[in-house]
Amino acid sequence: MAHRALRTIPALLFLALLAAAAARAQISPGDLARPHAALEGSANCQRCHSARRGVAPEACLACHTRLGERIKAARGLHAGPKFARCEVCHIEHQGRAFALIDWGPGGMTKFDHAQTGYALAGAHAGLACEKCHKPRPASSAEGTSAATFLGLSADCVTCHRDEHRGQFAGRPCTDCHGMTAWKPAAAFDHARSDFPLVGKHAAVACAKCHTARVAGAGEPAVAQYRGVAHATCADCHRDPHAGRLGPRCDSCHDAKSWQPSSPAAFDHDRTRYPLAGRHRAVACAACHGPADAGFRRPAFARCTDCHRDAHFGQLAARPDHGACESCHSVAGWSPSTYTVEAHQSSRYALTGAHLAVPCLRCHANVAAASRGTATAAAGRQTTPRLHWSETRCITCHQDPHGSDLSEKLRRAACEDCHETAAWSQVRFDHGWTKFPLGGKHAALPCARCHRPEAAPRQPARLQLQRPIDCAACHRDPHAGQFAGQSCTRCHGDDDWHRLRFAHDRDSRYKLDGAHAKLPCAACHRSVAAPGGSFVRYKPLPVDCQGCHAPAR
Amino acid sequence: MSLPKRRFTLFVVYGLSLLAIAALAWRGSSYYLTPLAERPRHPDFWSWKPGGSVGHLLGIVGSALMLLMLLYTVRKRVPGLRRAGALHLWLDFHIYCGVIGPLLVVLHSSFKVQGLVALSFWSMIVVALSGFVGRYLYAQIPRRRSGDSMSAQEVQTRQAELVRHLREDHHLPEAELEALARIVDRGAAQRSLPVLLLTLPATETVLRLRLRSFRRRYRRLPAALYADLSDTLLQHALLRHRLAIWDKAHRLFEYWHVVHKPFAIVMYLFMIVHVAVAMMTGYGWHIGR
Repeated sequence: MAHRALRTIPALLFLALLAAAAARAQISPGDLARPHAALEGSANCQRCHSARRGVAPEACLACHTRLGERIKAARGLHAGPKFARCEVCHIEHQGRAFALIDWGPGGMTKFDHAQTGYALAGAHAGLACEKCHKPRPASSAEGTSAATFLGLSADCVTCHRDEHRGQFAGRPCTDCHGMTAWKPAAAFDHARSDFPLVGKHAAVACAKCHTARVAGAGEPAVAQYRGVAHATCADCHRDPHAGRLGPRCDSCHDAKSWQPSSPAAFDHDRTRYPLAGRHRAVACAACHGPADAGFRRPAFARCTDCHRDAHFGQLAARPDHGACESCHSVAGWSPSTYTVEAHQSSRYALTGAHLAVPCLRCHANVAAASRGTATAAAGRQTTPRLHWSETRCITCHQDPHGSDLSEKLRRAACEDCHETAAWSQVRFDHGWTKFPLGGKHAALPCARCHRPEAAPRQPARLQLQRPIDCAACHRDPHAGQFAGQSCTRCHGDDDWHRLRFAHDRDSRYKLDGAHAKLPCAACHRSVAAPGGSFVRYKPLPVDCQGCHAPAR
Repeated sequence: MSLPKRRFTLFVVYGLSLLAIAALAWRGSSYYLTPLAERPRHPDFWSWKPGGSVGHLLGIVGSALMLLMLLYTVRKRVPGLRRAGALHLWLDFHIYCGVIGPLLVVLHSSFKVQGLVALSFWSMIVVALSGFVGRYLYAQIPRRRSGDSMSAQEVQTRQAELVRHLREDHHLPEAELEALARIVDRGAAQRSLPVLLLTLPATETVLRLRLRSFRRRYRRLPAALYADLSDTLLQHALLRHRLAIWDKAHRLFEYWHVVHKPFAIVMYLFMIVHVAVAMMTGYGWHIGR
């Protein structure tokens, strides 16, 4: 009987255990993770598991619809063949707190994002996950509060603003920009554009051509990369030739340099400064500077824009301000086109012998430094003298008279006496002097009185170093009978023999009677003397006996 | 099969099997020693988890061994199979499966026991551990060479044979036989069944130790003679002891079945449920994935 009772124990024990098991209804190997908590319970096994296929992806994707769509579209990490089975990564039945997402070693921040098909390169690599992955509803089943990493497109504009405001719509940003930084656009190659940059264009700052424009009200200024006109140079460049040389810049220039690409072929005559004369032979660089230093465009309005003023400003006072072309031409500096005729209209018209004087006799080379500033004269030793502050003869000529001029004459100009025709042509009014010439004096050559007193080459003394009386030049034929009396008392300067002497008036012995009829020599007889004979005029006796012998 | 040959065979079979299990445990130790929460990220997860390529195989083999254990029950209960091998060999097989199977299932569980299958698991542990007790109690019941238990009459006949052998062939004095009886009887004092169950191993160990010091006085005998004497003394002493606890040992063995069998049934039942759930959730016969 006891054995019978004992044999019921196993059955009772079994039933008790079975009841306990039924109560637990727990055939799950572990709790589901929190996101799947709603699927907990023995009745739900088949919602994920199937006898034939285990945990089929379709079971997961029945809820995770958005993920299903992406897999179907072969997008994202889950579309990869490595990730075909959900439960391999998202391990379940590990408890409520178990993280369903396996980020791999290092956790979420070390996740190899390349597995998603979008490797984080450059600046992306250092970003916090939530910078891009903001909470979004993962699926209708999960509600709107759950966070998901899905839903981001690899298109840059998913996270970034299109800085070009649609100028490159339809093209990925990475065609030009790298992941490290927006600028510089590492992958951009202007050579692939419609306008490959060559020559100087390569060094031009982008913004010089791609200027910022405001697309619309309230919009920031955006650099224009599309629709930048580039068909002709004039689209960007101002035509320095103002259209004179036509629209084809490339006929002379290329992008390497503004300097004409083929100087030999360049027709300078098309410019505002056609080359003529000697200019034709001048090397381009002489005016335009060396090619490698940029092609200088010199001013050309005045010769001095290129040439140095050889006259160092001596002609600046001229009405034309010393314009070179007044005297010179492009045919050559010398000879000058300045003629004698031109000289006649100058401040100093040439007359007389001056007309025959070679130019250089007057316009001799002088030290350049004496004509202009030291800077202007630098490098040049001499320059012809073209300018004098005054035009007096003495500027060129030596005064041969030296101190031999009276104070009055000294104040006079040379031309008061001399002609430019010849030095010897003197038109001197002797009346100015203390000894006006009259009578026979007027007909005498100057040299009869103004004789050279020194060496023969010396000019005659103008100022005679003698008293101004007749005796200074003439011999006294009266042998001193009239000493102390002027010759002019009796003689004029027209004829020695035409006397002004009136015997009755001028002597103490009046002639009357027979005396008046007597020749002079009847009384005034020639007397022989040691120095030569002379006519005796006085003293003569005035009584009769003096001439007449007493009656005998 | 002779006893030494059987023991050798068992030694080799157990040795190899336990070595294999130890090797498996060593190989899986990295995974097994990882905290549960971190195991899913362990590189061995997909092979050593219960449903993994290795873990699943361990479960299938372990479960198969557990099912094969039932052959012993069948052999024991179906009269028609009486000739199908000696019962003690079947028991050896039963015990082998009961030792190796649970060990494999323990590895299969990866020491993570929860849910419904825990009932099966802990039942298995109880059944297996009770098997060790059962094996010991089994030994306390004198058996014929076939493994069938001897009747009390048979035991007494055998005991008489042993005493006659000691008296007549070894010329053991009567005083020595009485001393021997005292040694045995000292350990066979009246005890309650639980106390007996708990003290039995110690009692038998003490008996063997005393017996050793008893027979040592005969060690100057020729070796063959001494060996026979020792063996006879041991058989005699053990038989005398088992006769002394005859009733209690049989009752303990009866009660043991009460423990062993229901837990076995629970184990099998939930094992079936476990396997069915596994099959239903996709963990079929395929090993791993």
